[in-house]
Amino acid sequence: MMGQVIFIVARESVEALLVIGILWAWMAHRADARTGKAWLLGGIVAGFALATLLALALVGVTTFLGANARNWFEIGMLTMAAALIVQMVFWMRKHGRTLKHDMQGELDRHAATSNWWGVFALAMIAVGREGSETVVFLYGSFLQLQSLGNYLTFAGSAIAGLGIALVLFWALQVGARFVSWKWFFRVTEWMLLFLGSALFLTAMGKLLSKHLSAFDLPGWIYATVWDSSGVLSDSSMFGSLLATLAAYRSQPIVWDILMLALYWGTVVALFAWQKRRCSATRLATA
Amino acid sequence: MVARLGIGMSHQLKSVRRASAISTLALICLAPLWLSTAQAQAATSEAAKPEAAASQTAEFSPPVDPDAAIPTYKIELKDGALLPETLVVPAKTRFKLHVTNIGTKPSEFESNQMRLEEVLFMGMDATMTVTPLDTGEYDYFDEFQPGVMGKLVAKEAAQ
Repeated sequence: MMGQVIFIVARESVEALLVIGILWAWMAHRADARTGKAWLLGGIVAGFALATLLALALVGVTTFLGANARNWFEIGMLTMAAALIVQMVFWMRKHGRTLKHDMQGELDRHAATSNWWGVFALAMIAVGREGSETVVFLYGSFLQLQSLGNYLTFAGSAIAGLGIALVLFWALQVGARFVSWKWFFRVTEWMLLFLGSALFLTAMGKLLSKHLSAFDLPGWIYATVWDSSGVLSDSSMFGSLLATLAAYRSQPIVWDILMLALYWGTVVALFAWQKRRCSATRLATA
Repeated sequence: MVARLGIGMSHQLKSVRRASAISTLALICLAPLWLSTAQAQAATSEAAKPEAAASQTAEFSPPVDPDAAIPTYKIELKDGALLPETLVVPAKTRFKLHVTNIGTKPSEFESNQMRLEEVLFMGMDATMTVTPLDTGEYDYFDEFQPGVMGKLVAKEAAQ
């Protein structure tokens, strides 16, 4: 029972802590780190509020939206988180490389404010979505407790689970300090982009099975493309972690592949456009 | 010139070493997570093997209402147990799963392979539509009480 509490809490916190850990480490490299961290912390606090609100609906205390509207809300949250991640990486590629000597003009500062809202929203969704599941799990398990000893081990396990997940956060901060900035940025930007793809794929999966299921889409959309569940099933521990963090699927259908192609196609197109524009401005200023 | 080259090389080497250091760190963080259920996983896959072989010839599971246009199958979650642990449904046909948590603990019905995820508090239920499946086997499980792996078998309906 208690091992299970540790495990579930750690598992559900990994995604949020990965996002927050990377953003936090990125902040440290900016001149306006203090402002950025304040926005990030604000997002985390708002995330806890969102988690509680969602958990209340899941427990059945409140009817927060109808079931149908809540599905749309979830798809919206996931898609928005994916979009925010791409935008964040996009922004960091533009500004992060020049490090501390940007943010001079008024225009830059204005652009920064809208990006801080992005940081805020991303942290809020990351904490709120997975957090709501953790809240439901902890609350439900909490109701089963009998003795004081039970309560203590329960609290200890929940904290231990969070502690394991916090090791990831800590490793990211240590990494940011000891790995060269260029490398750290390169590795973490890919981690974020993969996480974005996983969020987008989950959103599109929900869209297909919850909202498009009433329509008769052509049969090939549902055809299984490959089956690698014998090698690495996405129901296994490692496989499901890869599914959460990098959109791994052991039995993807054509729809999944199309949606991933759409995501990565957009990312590649955006970054190619950014690169072209960057070199154009460099030529113009030279 | 030579000195400068040397410095450049050592710097590059260092960053490569650092890059591998960070990936190692990341792996170390994830290792306990993986290990903690690797055991449970091993136990389930062994238990599931004879069942999987038998499922090829298994009879179709009875839907809740045999006359319904879209068949609905019932699954009950009870404190980590999946009732039933095996479901046999026709392939390439849309169907529904009606999942109820009849246990004393919260559960999260999940299947990456069927694109399903639903948190169910005690006593709550949900109906999910599953898109048409190709013939094959698909897992379902309770993410909050891992250890038992359910198997949904989609097979060609007899002509």
